Order: sequence, then structure tokens, then C-alpha cells
Amino acid sequence: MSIRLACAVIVLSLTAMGLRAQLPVHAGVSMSLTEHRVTAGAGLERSSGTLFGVWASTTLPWQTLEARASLRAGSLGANEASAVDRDVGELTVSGVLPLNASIGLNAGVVVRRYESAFAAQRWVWGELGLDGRMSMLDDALDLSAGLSIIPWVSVSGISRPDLAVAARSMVAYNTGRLTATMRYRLERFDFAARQGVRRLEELSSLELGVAWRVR
Amino acid sequence: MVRLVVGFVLAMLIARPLGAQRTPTEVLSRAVILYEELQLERAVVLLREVASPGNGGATADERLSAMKYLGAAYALLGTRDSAVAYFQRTLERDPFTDLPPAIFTAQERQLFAVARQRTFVVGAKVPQDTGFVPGQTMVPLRFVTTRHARVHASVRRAGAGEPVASFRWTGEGAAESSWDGLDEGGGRLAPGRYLLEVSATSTADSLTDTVAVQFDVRYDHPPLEDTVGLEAASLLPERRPPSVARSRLAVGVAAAAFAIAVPTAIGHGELGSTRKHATVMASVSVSSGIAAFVLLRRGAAIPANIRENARRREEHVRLNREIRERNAARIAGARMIITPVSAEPR
Repeated sequence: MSIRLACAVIVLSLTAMGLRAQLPVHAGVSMSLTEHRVTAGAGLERSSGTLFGVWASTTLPWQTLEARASLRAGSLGANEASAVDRDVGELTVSGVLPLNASIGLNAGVVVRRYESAFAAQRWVWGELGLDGRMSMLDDALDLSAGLSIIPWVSVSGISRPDLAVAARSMVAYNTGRLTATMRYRLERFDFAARQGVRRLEELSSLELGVAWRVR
Repeated sequence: MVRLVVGFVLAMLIARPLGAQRTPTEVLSRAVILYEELQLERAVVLLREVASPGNGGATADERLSAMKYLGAAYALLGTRDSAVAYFQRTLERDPFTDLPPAIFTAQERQLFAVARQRTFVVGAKVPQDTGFVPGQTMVPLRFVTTRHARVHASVRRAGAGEPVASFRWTGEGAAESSWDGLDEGGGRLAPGRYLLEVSATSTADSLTDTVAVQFDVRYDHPPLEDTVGLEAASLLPERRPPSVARSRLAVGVAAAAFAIAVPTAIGHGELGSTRKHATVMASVSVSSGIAAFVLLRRGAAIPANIRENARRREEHVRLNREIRERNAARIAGARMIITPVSAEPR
């Protein structure tokens, strides 16, 4: 609960800072169709559900850095007998530094918490990647896609993964102050085998968002 | 030795005529000195030499001066008719000629007055290289008639019919008309060549005379700024090339392909990643590309560039308007320079 509160404070703070600094601010809500897959020796555990979130973004004067903060929370229901229901809360703070009109350097920090009836697990990681971006129809339509490596991951209770990568794709339609977005993201975490058991984990989400340009 | 003597003699024979060839200016100066020393007969010989039409080396002013002094010399010699005749010829060539009492005697001036009454001529002069601001200061145009007359003077552009300024008066002798340098409508004259045409009609016997003086009008002002041309390169393209639509379609297809590839390329095969999300994302991406393609094919105009070009054109017009206003201010404060070209030969 305290994490969710902290996340809300961060998102609201970013929005408030942008507004105070007379920066362009977009604030919106999102709904993410999420599917979590994990295998850790007990077969494939699959759970899925919907996460709801809020997010805000702004463009900072320094290097026209696009900063974004999002907060998502929801429940994933078990799809297999071996899986368990769990709640998920996530805070993401990220930035895209445009290298030119169509390439940007993406960096971000994600804090995620899984909570089930049996245990709770906190994930924290930092990621770094490249985004390709194309604006069409006089900025009415934006398409972007990117890949990230996740070089630093901390997962409570288990060791860090050997391989962590993420891929994402986005379509945004802008009309006046309103922006509608669809984001697809797939995260993959491969942990080292321990006692002959290798843990693999994956989270796929399709996020639908609507944002309003506050300024 | 004999050869040396012969050479010296020949050199002397050649040198003497060369020394005797004095310029008309020197001859005239010598004649005036002789006149002032009352060696009138000797002065007349030299003055006639200068005034002679055959003396191609003498200037018009030198001939005129010679005629005036011839009239004066004959007046002092008592040959009244010759004096009057030379004074008349002087007045016909330059109606502004006068005999200052400090130099010439009453006898000479009396015969000069007779010549004035027997001759009816009008003269006009424009000031030499006068600079003034039209409409703010005046420039004097000088006229003279030898007898009482009605005078009409007009300024007209060379080759034009209508005068730009005109003056009328009745009088005798020297007169001066102040001109503000503007045309009758109060406007500035265009730079170029103008004529000051004067016609005079004697009130006593209706004799007429005319004279025309040419002069150039130009203006002296700070350098004018050039207006700026709007180059095509400074404008943004207002329509997209057809290739843009195809490239946008390609981007949509590429984004869709990327989304489709993610579960396979990024996902772990052992987990059998879901493809539902990727498929939806790919569908939306390719649909966006198709929509962009269709819309760009339908209307290739670029509204943002059209607006920006309109702004640049307005800026260009504003800039040139300001330049023209600054130039107009400079021209309005410009000094008008009047330069006489030459007097009309009489």
C-alpha cells in the first residue's frame, strides 16, 4: 500500500512540476491487458488480467528530453492450476533522449511488486535501449518501436537474472489536446539454473491509453 | 663656324613668331590694361582680334568681354554709333551684361543705356549647383529684360509638353523668382533634364524674345536600401512528394513486422509467449500505415508548411514595406541639386 502511495505521489509530482515549469504536459489513464508466464520447475504458470493506470509525460527544455512516469496496478488471475492469483503494482519512470528526428535513447527505472496470498516479491530494475520513431500526418500519428537491455535487476528472494531484455512498440494518435495510445511490451527474464531448475519469466502487456494535453 | 651662325639665325627666325603667338586670354588682358591706360586705339586693335569670329581660340566669354570693352573704347573715342553697336551685340549675347559705375564712365554707361533701349532681349539663369530641400527652402531663378516687358517663364521636363512650374510678371531689368523646387501639384520633380523657357513681350512695341536654359535635376540623399527578394529556397515545400505516402506505408508495415517478431525474437520459446498482444499491435500498426498512405495520396498538402510560408511571405512584405518607408523618408529629406547644362545659343 505504501508503494502505491509513493507511486501516486511521484506521478502527481511530475505532473505538478511540469505544470509549474510551464512545460507541455500530457496526463492520461491506461488499461493494460497483461499476461504473465513463469516456469520454475513446476511447469508453466500462466496468469493474466487487467492493470489500470495513470501516467503523465512532459518534454524538458534540456535536449528536449521526453520524461514519462506511469503507475499501474491490478490483479492477474491464474490460468493454470499451478498458478496463483496475484496483485501487481508498478511504477515506471523513463526518459527518451532524441538523438535525431527518428532515433532516441531510452532509459528508465521500474519498480514492480507482485503480491499473492502466500508471498510478496519486489522487482526493481533499470533499463537502457534505443527507440525508432516516425511521425506521420503532421504529427497526428506517431509510431515507435524499441529494444532495451536490462543490465541491472534486483528481485527479492532470488538472484538476479542472467538475461533480461524488453521490446516495445507504440502507436499514438493525436487530435487536438487528446492523444490515444496503444503500447505493446514484452519483458523477458532468464535466471540461472539452481539445483537443476531454471527459472524463466515473461510479461506481455497491451496497454490502451488516453491522455489529455494539460498545457 | 659658318654652320653655327646659320643655325643660330634660323633658330631666332623660328622663335620670334612662336613668341608672338599669345593666347586670347593674354591678348584680352593686355587690351584691358591698354584701355585702362587710355591707349584706346591700341586697345581696340587687340579687342577686335579677340572678338573676331575667326579667332577660334577665344571663348564665348572672352569674345563677350572683348565686345563690351570695344563698345566702351569706342564710347571714349567718341564714335557713338560703333559704341552702341558693340553694346547691342554684347546684350544680344548676354542680356545680363552691365557696366559697373566703379569701372566705366558715365559717358560709356549712357551709350550702354541707349543700346539697351534699342535692343530687346530676355535672359535667364538658374543657380549653379544649388542644393536645397524642395518645399522647405527656395531657389532663385534670375531673369533680365532690356526693356519693360511682360514675361512668362516655365519649367518643363525635356521632351514633355506640360510645364511643371510657371511664373509671370511684368517689369524691366533684372528680376528674380523664387522657386520651391516642386511642381504645380506640390510633388517632387523626377530626376532628369529640364528646360527653363522664357518668353518676353515688350510692352512698348510688342517685340518678343525667347530664351531657354537647360538644367539637370538630381537629388542628394543617403544611400537607399535595396528591397529584399523572396527566394524560392527560403520557402518550405507545401506539397509532399508521392514517395512520402509509400514510405509511410512502409513504416506501418515495418512496425507491424517488428511487433509480430517480438514474441519469437524476444520471448522465450519454452514459455510459448502469447501472440495475441503482438497481433493486435501489428494490426493497428499496419492499419496506421495504410491510413497514412491513403490520406497522403488523397491530399498531399502540408498545412503547417503552408502556414509557415504565409508567415514568411507576410514577414517579407513587411520587411520591404519598412525598407520602402525608410527610403521614402530619405528621399523626402533629399537635397535637390540643380546644375545648368548650357545656355541656349542665341
